Amino acid sequence: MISPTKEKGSTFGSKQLHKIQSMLHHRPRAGSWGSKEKTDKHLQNNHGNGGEIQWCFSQVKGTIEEDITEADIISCVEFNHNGELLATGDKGGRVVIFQRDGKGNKSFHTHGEYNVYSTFQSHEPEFDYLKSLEIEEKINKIRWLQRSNPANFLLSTNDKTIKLWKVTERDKRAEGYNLKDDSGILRDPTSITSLRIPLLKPMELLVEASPRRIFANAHTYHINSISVNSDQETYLSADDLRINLWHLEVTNQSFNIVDIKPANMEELTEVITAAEFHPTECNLFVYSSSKGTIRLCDMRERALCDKHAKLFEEPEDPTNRSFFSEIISSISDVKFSHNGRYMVTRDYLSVKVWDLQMDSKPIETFQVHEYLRSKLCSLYENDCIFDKFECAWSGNDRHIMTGSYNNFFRMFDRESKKDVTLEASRENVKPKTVLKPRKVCSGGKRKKEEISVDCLDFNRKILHSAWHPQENILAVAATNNLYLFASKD
Amino acid sequence: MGQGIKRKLDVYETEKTPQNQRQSIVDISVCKLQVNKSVKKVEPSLLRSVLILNTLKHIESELRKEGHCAPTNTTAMDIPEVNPNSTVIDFLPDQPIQVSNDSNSATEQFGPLPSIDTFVGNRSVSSEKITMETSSFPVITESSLTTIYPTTLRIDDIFNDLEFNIADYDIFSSVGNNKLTPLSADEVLHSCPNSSSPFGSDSFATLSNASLSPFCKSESAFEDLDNIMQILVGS
Repeated sequence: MISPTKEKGSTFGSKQLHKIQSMLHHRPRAGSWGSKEKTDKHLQNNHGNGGEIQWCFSQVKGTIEEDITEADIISCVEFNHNGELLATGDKGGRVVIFQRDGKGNKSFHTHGEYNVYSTFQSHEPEFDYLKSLEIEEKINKIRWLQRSNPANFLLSTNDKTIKLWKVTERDKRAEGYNLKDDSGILRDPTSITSLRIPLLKPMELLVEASPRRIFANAHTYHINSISVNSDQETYLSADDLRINLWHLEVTNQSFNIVDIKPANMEELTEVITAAEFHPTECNLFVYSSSKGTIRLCDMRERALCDKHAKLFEEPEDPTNRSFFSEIISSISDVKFSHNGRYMVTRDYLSVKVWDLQMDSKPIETFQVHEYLRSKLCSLYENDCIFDKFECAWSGNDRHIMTGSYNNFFRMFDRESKKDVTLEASRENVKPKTVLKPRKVCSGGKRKKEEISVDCLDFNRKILHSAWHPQENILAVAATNNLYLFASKD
Repeated sequence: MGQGIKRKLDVYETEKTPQNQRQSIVDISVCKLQVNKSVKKVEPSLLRSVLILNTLKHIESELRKEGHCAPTNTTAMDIPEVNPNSTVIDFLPDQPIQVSNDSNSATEQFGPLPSIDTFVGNRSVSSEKITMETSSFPVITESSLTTIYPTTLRIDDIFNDLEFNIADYDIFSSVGNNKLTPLSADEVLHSCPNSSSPFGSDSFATLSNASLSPFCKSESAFEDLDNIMQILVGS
């Protein structure tokens, strides 16, 4: 509770009241709860080279084998709020959490190493008997809650069910019970002649994950997003046609806040593709659609947020019109910047940065792989055009990254307007080697070191990635491998 | 002279004209909407279906603007989703397939596009909606028959009476193995045995027939199935 500062001889006057009121209305910034260390780290990386980052390989997790087990394919990656934990979900319904070890070996890893902390089976495949269909156990999204006690909480979801997991550590064990001996067998009561107090003895660290809440049966269609509100008490889940608001403590009901299902399904032309809460304003959220629009909604206005507060849409460029214009305009991911003033959207060929104050057009557009524009028909044929790529902000909101094909990923510097293409590959896995920029040539003369569009491997795609919230560390999921990259400094 | 290798028309060259590209996109789209849902046992992605459907609608409106088509009956284009694992038998409608290369289609015709319900969500199979154009015949199992006709019909009895050449029905084996290989645009373009008109017609109906034709290799097979169904329905 907030208590007024006690000054000698002062009375509880209006000045104090004003101070308390302003404290009550102040929204806690994301990441500030419970953390005692000052987050100056993001400033350290910007000195010297003007903020440009040189990326180095750090670690890779996963099997080297060429044969990929479908269940091992990573389907989401997410750092927690201070970047100490990194969670991945896969198609087999498992969640693997990595923890960052201390600064450790300076010469090897300046930024610390991530090692497996906990693994658990989050979701199992289910069968919907009514529709005679399987429900995949693939983890679509993971979102961390901010820590308020020693345990860590995360939400994980598949197509239909969201689960709240509690991850706890146990490193002490009580020994010396009276009624049971240390292996758990009951002691013979006649042999007990005196009482003893059990002592806590250290034991090997045991990390346990247990499901605390199961939020089920609220979505007719496939869940594509979950987002925790800044109040840390509610969260939203979005499927193709509806968005529901949940309270973390309540599993038997949820509020429907957006419903775009038409009365007649024949009239359906647009679906929801992603949704996210604003990082600091707990009443605002956005959702993107398959037609390339983003809607900002304010929950204070009305209970059912069908009517948007703002509609973000860029008028179509008539010169680039093709049969596939609509498909490639479909937004696959939307993310707010850390400061809450901007958002970035990813469609098939580009990433766009929007200023929340301006809904007429994005303030920046970056081409991810424009060389694919002439190949859209083949990409439609092999279904690649439906791939949903994610995007991520750097901790200081200056950089944006997103994935592409051939295990390439793209980094955009908003300030210098420079961009670079890097590859997640096991070649050159020496840590601290700066990654070599890659280049794709679309036709004509192919320079040395360039790769031609026709040689790109469309089966090796980087759909999921995450950027450490404070430092320049990237976690990139390449099919069944997880790559970690860090900046050189 | 004349001893050289036969020259084959390069398929990719034919796709360069917008007309042909449009057509191949339509073919691919129709295939996408049909084939996938019999292969996977998971509900197909609504996003994907909506995007494909919108692409088809866009092409349809373009063609309409160019004065190519008039709206036709719904049944020609109704592509109901049929779950190969469903235990309900689909009944044939009274009328045969709408093959529009018959009498009245001097003009290219499109049906209004099917409701999104037919692909996802609405899984109740109603007899009016089902036409012979379903790409995946349900596997007729013994138990499914007895649920519909709890009397004495047994699958052996039915099939014993008929000259039923299973070999004509590639679909059965492929459905049984749950392995319908997706048709390439090539197969679709060149595999329609019944169409007498050259494949330049942009009719959706012929297209859906064409995309289904690998599963219906001969007319006699149709008649046989017709017979079976009449026995089941009529008695």
